[in-house]
Amino acid sequence: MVYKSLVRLIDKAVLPAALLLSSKILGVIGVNYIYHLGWSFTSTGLVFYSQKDFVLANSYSSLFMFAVIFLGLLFTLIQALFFHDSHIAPNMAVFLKGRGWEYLIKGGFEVYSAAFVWLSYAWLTTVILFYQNSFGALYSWVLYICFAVSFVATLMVLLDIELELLLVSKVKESRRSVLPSFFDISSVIKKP
Amino acid sequence: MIKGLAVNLLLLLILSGLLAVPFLPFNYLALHSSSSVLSAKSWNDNGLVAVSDLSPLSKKVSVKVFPGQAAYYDDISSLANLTSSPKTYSIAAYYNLSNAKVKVGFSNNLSEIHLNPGEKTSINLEVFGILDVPSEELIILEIN
Repeated sequence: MVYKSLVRLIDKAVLPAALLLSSKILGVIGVNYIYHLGWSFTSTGLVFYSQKDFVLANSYSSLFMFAVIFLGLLFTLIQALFFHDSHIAPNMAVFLKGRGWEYLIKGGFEVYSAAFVWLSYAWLTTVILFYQNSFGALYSWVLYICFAVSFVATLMVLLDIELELLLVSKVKESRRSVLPSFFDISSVIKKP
Repeated sequence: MIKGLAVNLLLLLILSGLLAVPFLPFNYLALHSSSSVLSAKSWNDNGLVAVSDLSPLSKKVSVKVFPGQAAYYDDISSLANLTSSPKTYSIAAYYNLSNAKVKVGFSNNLSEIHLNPGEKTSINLEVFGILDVPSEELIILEIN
């Protein structure tokens, strides 16, 4: 079970990792190009000549990277809240089936593994930006946006998990309510 | 059992690596040595108030000094030679002489240091309070 979960998580993390890596690099290139910042390539990496330029490049490239995380989270949350097989609206299920789009309906394992990966990236980014912000290497508002988005997304995933657990407990209860009547009937049958 | 555990551990490592990959570019963005005051820490007390940039080669340090007491601040800032040739750097402190005695130096405890390309050093500060009451002092550090 652990093996299966880890393999699924790795599978789900490959594409986001590639997307986020390229978005950060593209973000730095884009900010340098738009704002004409002073920088040079050295053995330590991309070195900026003023703190203002460094903070600008770091802040906007991080924001661009987080925008990709936001899109990933949004996609996962839409899947979790509207296309989750355990609580998809019947008319939506019929609509998707009619159009041949039933592949959009996802199971809990798939939804939660994707949510885990995107939330991990969101919170890791928030922690790193918090650390950078404490050294003045980032505009504070970038950190506030990232924290707010990560927090709201986590709450929404937790709400979906709560809904899932509620449905599971309802199913269990309905099974329990069926079982005694069965035993009653069997005892009635044995009597004669 | 052990084989399964090893496989799971390996998978966990791969997953951790994948989660860390997007953050690699964060390490390769740097600020030029002449303005690299991104961290400041004092190891002996909470007397260090703030370190900030005045210009790429000068830093403003605020410290709280206590009468007759010396405070030592290690690594309040760092300096790295990111040029392609060896260079000698010197540092001087400007402050109100009647309030405190200040000594500033690099990691070699001197006010001058020779750095090879890529080499890094820390800036250390020693402050001794002269006034009868605690006071907050402003020290300007100039690097040449």
